[in-house]
Amino acid sequence: MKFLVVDDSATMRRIVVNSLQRIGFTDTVEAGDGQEALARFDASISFVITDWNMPNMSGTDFTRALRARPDGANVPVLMVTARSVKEDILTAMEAGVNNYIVKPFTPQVLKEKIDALLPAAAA
Amino acid sequence: MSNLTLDDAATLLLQLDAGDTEDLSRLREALTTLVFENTVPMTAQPHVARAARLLGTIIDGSAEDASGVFTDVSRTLEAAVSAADSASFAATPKRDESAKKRGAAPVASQPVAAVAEPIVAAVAEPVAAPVAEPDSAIIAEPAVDTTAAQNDELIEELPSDTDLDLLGDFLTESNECLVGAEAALLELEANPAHEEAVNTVFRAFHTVKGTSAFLGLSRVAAFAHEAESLLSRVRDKEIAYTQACAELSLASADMLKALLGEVKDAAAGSGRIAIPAGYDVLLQALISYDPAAPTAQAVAAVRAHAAPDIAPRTVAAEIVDAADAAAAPRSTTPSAAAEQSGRRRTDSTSDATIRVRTDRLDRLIDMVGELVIAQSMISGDDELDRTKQHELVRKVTHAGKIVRELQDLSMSMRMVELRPTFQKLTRVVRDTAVKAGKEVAFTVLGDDVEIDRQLADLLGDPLVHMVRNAVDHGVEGPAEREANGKPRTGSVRLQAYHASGNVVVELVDDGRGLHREKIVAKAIEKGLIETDKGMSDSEVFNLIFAPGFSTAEKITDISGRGVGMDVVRRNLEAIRGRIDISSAPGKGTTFAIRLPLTLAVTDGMLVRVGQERFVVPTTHIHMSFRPEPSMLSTVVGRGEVVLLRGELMPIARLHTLFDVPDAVQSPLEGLLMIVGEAERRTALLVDELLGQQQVVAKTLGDALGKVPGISGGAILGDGRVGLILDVTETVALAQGHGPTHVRHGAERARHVYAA
Repeated sequence: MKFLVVDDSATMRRIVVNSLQRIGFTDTVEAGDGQEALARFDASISFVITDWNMPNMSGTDFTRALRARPDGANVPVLMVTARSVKEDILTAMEAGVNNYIVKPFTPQVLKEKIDALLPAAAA
Repeated sequence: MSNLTLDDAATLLLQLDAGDTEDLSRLREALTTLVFENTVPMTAQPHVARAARLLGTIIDGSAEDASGVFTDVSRTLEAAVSAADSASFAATPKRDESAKKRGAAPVASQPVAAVAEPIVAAVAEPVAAPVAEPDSAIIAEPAVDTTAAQNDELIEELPSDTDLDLLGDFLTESNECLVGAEAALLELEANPAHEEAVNTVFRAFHTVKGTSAFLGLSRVAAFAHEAESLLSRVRDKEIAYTQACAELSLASADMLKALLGEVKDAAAGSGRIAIPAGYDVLLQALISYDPAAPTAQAVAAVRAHAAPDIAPRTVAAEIVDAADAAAAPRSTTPSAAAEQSGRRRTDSTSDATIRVRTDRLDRLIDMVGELVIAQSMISGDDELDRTKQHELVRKVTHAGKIVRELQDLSMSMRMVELRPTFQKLTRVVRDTAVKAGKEVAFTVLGDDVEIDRQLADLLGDPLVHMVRNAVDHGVEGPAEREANGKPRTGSVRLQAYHASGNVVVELVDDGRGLHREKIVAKAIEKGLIETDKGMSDSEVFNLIFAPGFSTAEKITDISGRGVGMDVVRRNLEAIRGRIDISSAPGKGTTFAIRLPLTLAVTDGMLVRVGQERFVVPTTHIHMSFRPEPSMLSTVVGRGEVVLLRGELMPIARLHTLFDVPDAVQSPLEGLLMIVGEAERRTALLVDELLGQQQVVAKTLGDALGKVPGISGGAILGDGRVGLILDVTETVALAQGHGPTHVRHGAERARHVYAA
């Protein structure tokens, strides 16, 4: 099961990747912004974790573009964010984000978020 | 209502009164819960989210056409239902029962979180989240005057489980972000509408906040959070990017840098993060920032008081001073202590480099310098020339080769880029321009040029001074510039490049230029010269470097470019730099600083004058020759001159300047050595050239102080002492602009060395 981790901060990517490893997901691909993520995305990716605010292309714009692609319409997208304002989250979800996780999070919380979206991915 | 399914919601919507806010709110909560809990199929989720968001705009009144939006909500929900239906035909994901037809699954089997429960808390999980509650972390601490309370406020423990490797990455990245943010903030100054710059700054604070929260650095996260909030208000056009806002943002970037510096020290040492002075005050200023409120005025006051300095601590400290005294001025002692303990260890957070104390490095380089000389004493020993032991000669040669390589290597260890030195100046330009009401575009070129670290350090202060002067006095105000047909925005350019074994740093402005007449008048008034007759422009301009040249009175219409320029030159000469000025009235001024690559070793030409030997730094020598009688003459007002390829140059006799007996008197019997730049070219009379040599320069020591014309002494290959000539000063002395006590000084110097 391959994860695409999108964040402009290399440190954050490392934190996410480390967290994923600790909950048993070792196959990861990284991208530094939305554009790079679109280029990196392919059918082998089964889960996307993306930051929101990034240069060049934000997490919401990336998700919207991803959803417009045949191979990206059904992949679960989890957004990492520091915002927890409901309106903001709804905007992200309108763009196609499936759920969000607030920084800072523990690997356990990350696991719960992923688990909640995985059955949907099987659809 | 909390157990609604998507279909329930769609049905309910039809029965709702679009004007009943309470009903709308409940529906919205239910829809929000549906999306947040992922209880609708993925394909339906965006629609549900949209419906919830649209309902929100009706509820809070921000929707312009409420009934139109309401229709939109209905359509969106229909789309959601049909998306959910097709998804349920395609497959039956575990958690999508609620989206199925009501009959297929009992509604109660999929309880949705109670609407009354705060949704964010329910979804976000009760993770320790210092970011979300900066207030409790900060404001809860009373400013009680007990030592214990103060310590709590000043120190934060680094979490014990910190991953140092990750922390190292975090620090590197954050510092990069903040450097970028500072550049963007300065860009914003020039162009407040630059949205990408706002975003860059926002992201920098955002990144620092997000990552520091993971690392448990709650103070850092809390501060970054507030700084981010300020910028997000600017981004959302809620507040304008005013001067006060700019000051606050810059101060915040500084504070974060200082905080991160403390974190780094804590990681290397005590594990205790000293919170820099001014933290709370600045944090409060961020929290309560209101463009029209006293906070803005306080920050403005800070700016008015603050010298355009760049040390983060200083800025922070000034903010404390200017702001509420009740905020208890904080001592910086703990942070200083933490810093010391941190520096004592090497940097454990980065693996490719280690930190070495510069004084150790300096000593190493000095020792290598001495080694080079000791080696040259051995290889230059007469015995070695006479010996039949070729094996020994070979070994000495081999050792010499290694020593030279060692020397090159030790030099390179201290080479650093000029970038950090130059970067600080961007801020100086900006601060000075703001204060002086100037509009200045600052350009930096060649900041990748490498130079001895010691030189880079020592170059900093003079450059700050010069740049400040260029902005304050060189560049005219926007109105004056326009009146003179120049663009409103003045230009100040700083550029560095290599030129014949030296590094040249040029500061070029397009301001009003220097006024020869005013400088001459001032210099005469101050008794520095009697007349400017025979003085070139360059010589006149160089008078501004003379000690005692006025600092207070008007030279360039505002307040005088002479401010501390003698100090600038002294500092530069201490690092064997040479500074030259060229200027055209109304067009601007160029200061060119020529520096050696390193201070550790001087490439010198050893010359003999009588029984004395002088070392002339080769950077200053253009050529040496024995003149023909036809080349020599005497010119009224200039004295003895030599004519070389059409150029007349005064002859300076070193033996006269330094009172050396038994030296060659006639240029025809000795050698003339051309030194100095452009109009200041001078032919120095010496007895003979003894050869080129690298020497390790030593100061003459406190007993002698500064001897005019001499920059230091050096132990020569044969173990004797030679004096290193300060060419700039010597030329000035020869032309009669220098002080008259030179002979005394030189004599004293000789005697001390002879002793």
